[in-house]
Amino acid sequence: MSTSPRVESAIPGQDANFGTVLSHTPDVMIKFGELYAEFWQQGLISQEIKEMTRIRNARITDCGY
Amino acid sequence: MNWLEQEGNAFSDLLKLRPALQKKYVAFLQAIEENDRVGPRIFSLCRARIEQIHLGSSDYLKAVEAEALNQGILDQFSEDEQAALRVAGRIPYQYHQLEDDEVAALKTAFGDAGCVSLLTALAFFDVSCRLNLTFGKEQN
Repeated sequence: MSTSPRVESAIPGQDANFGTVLSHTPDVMIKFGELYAEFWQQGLISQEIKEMTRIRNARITDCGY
Repeated sequence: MNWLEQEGNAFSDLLKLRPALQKKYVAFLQAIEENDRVGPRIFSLCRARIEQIHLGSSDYLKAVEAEALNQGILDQFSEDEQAALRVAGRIPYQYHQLEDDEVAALKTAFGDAGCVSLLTALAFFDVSCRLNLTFGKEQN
């Protein structure tokens, strides 16, 4: 899977990566961060299990990250 | 556009068990929708296309649109809609085949911010379908 960004960084002088590309939509980036934090830090499933399933999913989908 | 509030949405019902997570998920979806480059028609068409791929059909497509999309015939759609639908069609099972020129077409149509909004939306349309399949919505 390609990991070469196809959208330029929204922050001048910084390379394109997940964060700098998502910065094109600041409110989306903020809300995603809040959602992601809630998902990872709260709930009954341990972070270890979440991380294990995240890695497994990444292997299956051939995620470049 | 808030597809979480559709009737019969299995995932939506289950998410009510986690009110804080639901609130933040809704806020995230609203942030995607509240952009000034991608209109509701584009979001709606793309969501329906992804649902059609996963479920075999979508209640949010007219019959003529559904048939055209099944056939891969896009000429009844506007140029912007075609660009969006081509990428939407890749997301469920062809994400590794997404071409640079297909993303470039999104940037041309919607600008960088619109492209990012749309690609984010497409990913979560896909998530929503997969979660509904997991939690019990029947496949046609």
